[in-house]
Amino acid sequence: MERGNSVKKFLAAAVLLTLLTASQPVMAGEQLVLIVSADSKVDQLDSREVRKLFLGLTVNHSGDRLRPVVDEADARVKEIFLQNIVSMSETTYDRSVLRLALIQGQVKPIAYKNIALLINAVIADPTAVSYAWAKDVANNPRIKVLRVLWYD
Amino acid sequence: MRKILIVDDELDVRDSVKCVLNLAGYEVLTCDNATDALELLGRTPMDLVITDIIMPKMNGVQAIQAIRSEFPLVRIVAISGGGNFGAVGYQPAAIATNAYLKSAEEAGAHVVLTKPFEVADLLQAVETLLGVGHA
Amino acid sequence: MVRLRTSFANYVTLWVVAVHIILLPALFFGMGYVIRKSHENLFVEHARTFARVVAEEFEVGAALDSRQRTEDLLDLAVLHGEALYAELYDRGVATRSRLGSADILSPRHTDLGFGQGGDGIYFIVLPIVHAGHNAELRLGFDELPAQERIHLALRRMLWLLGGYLGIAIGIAIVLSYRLSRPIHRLQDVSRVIATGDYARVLNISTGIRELHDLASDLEAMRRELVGVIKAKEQSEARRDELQRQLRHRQRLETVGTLASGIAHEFNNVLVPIILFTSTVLQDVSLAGASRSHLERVLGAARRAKDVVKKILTFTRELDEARLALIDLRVVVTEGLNLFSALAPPSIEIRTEIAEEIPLVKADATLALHLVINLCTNAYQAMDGADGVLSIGLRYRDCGDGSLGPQPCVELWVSDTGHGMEPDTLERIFEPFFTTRSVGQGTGLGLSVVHGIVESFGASITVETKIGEGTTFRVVFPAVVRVGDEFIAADA
Repeated sequence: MERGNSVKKFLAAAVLLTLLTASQPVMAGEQLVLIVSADSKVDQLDSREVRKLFLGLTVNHSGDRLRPVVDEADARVKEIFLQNIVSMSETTYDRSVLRLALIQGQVKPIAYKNIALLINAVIADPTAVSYAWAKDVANNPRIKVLRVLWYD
Repeated sequence: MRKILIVDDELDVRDSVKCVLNLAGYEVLTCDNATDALELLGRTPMDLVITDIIMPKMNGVQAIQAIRSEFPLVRIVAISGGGNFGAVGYQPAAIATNAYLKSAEEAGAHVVLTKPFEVADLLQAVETLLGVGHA
Repeated sequence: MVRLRTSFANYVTLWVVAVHIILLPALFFGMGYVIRKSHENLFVEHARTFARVVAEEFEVGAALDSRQRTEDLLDLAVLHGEALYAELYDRGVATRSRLGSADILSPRHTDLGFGQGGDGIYFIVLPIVHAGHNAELRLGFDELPAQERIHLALRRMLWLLGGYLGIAIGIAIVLSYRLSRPIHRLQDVSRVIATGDYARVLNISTGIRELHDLASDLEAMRRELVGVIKAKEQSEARRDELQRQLRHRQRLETVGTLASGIAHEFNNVLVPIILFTSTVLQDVSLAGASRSHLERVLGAARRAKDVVKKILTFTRELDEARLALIDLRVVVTEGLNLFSALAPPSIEIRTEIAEEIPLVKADATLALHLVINLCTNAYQAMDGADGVLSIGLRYRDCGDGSLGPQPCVELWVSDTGHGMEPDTLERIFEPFFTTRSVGQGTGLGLSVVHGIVESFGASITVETKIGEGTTFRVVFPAVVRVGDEFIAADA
């Protein structure tokens, strides 16, 4: 128990440090938002559709098959994605995606590690659906924000 | 009276033999070595010589050979106590009493007697050689 | 530089312990990490799935239609989902399940992983879109049970690793002992051999081929060594024996020479004693007492004469011996006839005479003398007590194989007497040497035997054991008849 506590303390300190350094510019009040291209016909998606989409299942909207774009720009986004969008642990998510890809021939969602590339990809594809920090897409006329997925 | 010469380097032997022979009625002369004995024989004829074999100067076997060649009529009795100590001037192949006596016999002794001998042996030998009845 | 040396068992054990001290912590932390991760993963998985299910129930169901239904669903979440706390925030109103903990005031949105926040609670905040407006489901899961499961698993693993370490050390000790035991045995035997006990056999029972081979090699070396040493010992023993025989012979000759010199002088002394005494005794006038005294002098002188004769027999006055081809069976039979008349009934006489034996070159009278002397000696060795005297004759080959067969005739006489000490054995053939008390013998018997045996060109050996008896063996070279000629074997 003693060690468990110390581990916990260490992890807490690490998280605090991460918050104080990496997320320095992103102060309280930041939001993760669901985005599509401004040209997209999509106006809204409920959480089940979003989840299906990012699991790699087929989601059609206005006759078009939507295409998920995964944001892997930072670890925090990934954690929020896992918790609030797909509601799975990382391993379960990876396994689900892999299983669907192998068994049903579904295409694995495209992932971007660079936020600028991701935004460009979303802008370029009207069927693309992704997510990003609100500040990254604020005032971008070519991006349409659908809803807030997570906020602090 | 028959004359007997005793040759022995031991005084007691000479005297005891002389005593026995005197009592038996013989005339006895003695010598303590063979050289003197031969000289004495040359001067005085003897009937019988009793000689020891192991003696200084000249040993008995040589003495017997000399007597036999010079005085063939003299009878000879050889006596010896035997022993293995290497006789003076004489080294037979087998140095033992019997060997000496055998040598003496071969050299011409008529009778050989082993020391010590009994009175009867001595007298019998002498009487045999000189002829019984002579006194 | 001092090099520490430790026993094989300690060496192996120390190495096993050292290796485990390095490996086990690494194994513990590695496995601990895996266990922790898998438990955390399970927890997060469960919490997220459960939160999603509840959130979707709110989104698609009618739970938000009334406050009561909202509370019911939140209660269900607490009841079934191990949630400590469940709350729905909708349009400024927070509805909270009363089943959960009341003291959780500020749910945070930043709790994204197990153990984060340091409060032992894993928070999940999910946005809910229902009937066109946004609400928020807030769930708090207790991390403590998962933490405890992790710690329990770690403790168990610690025990397992401890047990494993114990078993490993145990195996190391047992194994090293099993390995070192044959080595120790080899070492012990080698040390014994090094101290000169070459008869020890180097063998060990082990299933380890290398050790078995090593033992076999060492044993081969030992055999080689023993062969070399034995050959050396044999040649030394042979040399010693020859030297001993030479010394013995020289001594006998010296004593013999001395004895015959004394005998000669003695004979000369005896002549006047016998002759003068005899002469005096012829005097008839001699008085009774003096006469009897003189007769005793004469008797004593005659006994002295006999003694001297025996001395001279020993000194090889055997020239007179007429060596002829004789049959020893006849001699032995005649000797036994004479001896059995003298021997007391307490002595059992056994004979063992071979049916056919070759002729030997000897003097029949002396050979008889020899047999009687040996029998007398045997009888005296038994001190008049009960005993067995064995006498035998047999044919045998006394060659050593290098020159072909050498036919011999062996005459043996053995007694069940008191045996002899080595010191005694060494001197028995010397004249005047006797173990009997004064007056019981002259000590000339065996020297006479020796003289006779020598004169025949035969040899005599003695085997004796204290308390068990003595055996004399006279070995005559046999004369073999080839056509009409007799050929002495040792010509």
